[in-house]
Amino acid sequence: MALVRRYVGRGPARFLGGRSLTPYLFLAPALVLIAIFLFYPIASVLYYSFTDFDIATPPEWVGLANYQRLVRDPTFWKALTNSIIYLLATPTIIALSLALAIVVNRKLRGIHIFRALYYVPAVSGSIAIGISWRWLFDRNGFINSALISLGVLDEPIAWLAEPSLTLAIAMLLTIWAGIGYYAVIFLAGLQNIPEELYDAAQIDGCNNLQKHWHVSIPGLRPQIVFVFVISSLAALKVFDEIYVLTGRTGGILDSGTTVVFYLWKQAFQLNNAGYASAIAIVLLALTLVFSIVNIRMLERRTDTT
Amino acid sequence: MARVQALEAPELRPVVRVRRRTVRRTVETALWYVALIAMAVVTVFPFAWILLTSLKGLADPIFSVPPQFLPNDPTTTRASWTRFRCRPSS
Repeated sequence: MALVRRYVGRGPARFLGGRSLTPYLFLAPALVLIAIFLFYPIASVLYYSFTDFDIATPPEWVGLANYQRLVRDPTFWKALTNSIIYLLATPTIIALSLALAIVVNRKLRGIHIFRALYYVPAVSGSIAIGISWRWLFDRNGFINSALISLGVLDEPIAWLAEPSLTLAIAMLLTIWAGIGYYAVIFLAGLQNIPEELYDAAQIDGCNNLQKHWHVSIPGLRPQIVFVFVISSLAALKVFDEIYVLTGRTGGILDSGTTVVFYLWKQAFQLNNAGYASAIAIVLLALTLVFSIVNIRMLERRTDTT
Repeated sequence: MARVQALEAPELRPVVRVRRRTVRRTVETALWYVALIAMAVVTVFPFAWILLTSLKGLADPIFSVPPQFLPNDPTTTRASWTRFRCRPSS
């Protein structure tokens, strides 16, 4: 009976425990692409992480040696610390782009021009942006010469050669380049909040700031969670800014080295693809944990509403 | 007489209030624009700096104190636009 029931139904294919095969056929092209370009590379990186591999010669199985080396590698820990410090860019970016979206949501003449100008960094290549920032922060660059001629500084500061500043400048670049993009997401959310809620808040005696605190921010909760997820994963995976600003060195004493930068350096400068794969797996685990926490946050939020 | 004044006064008061409010609103709007322009300068400046540098001639300093914004090397200023041609003239 069960067997008969399983094969009863419409359509040509009735497999997979009574479920139709048709949806899987529609999914197949995308799944094949994902399998080839995502799952296969991840699997091979996992394999390489257990080998000694220099790209040129065939990999040699070494077991857990790469991971043992990783735990004892001070540069890796430095890179991991830097990546976690880099996460501080996320709350900053949320606060600033939220404020910008609220400002740009005002009905002022010519506000469209300003919205467009703030979006310029988002449409520019990260390398172009990085190079322009490198010029600005050069020892002889604009920032120094402007500060000296204003009398703020006597001596030029080597911004990018200062180990304590490298990471901060890279984070500043990330924040500066990201604000416009995230502000657009917040702006779209703001325009979905009904005007009546603000009117009601005004009747209840809210001033402008309180209106945003009590109406805009709760109304933007989905966007805030989304931006939090996207920007924190981007912060964990930061590479371009470090690559350009430190001139491919990772900064003096690895001051600007993040996990992905260290991965790149091991794989493509030092030819330790096996070791770099182990770093990639650790990073994957880290981002996976992060994503799961984030998705939990998202789910909890949809449950309560 | 007293009755006339009593009628006139409420008419006058809103006019004054409206004018004061428009002044306040103008100042507020001006401050918003100052903030918007300041933010726009911060976002656009690096790009403007690239553009200006691309126009500078050989005699123009790229790194100098105080910073030089506009290209003023007379021999190369006009020629510097050639960098934007498809085939740069040598």
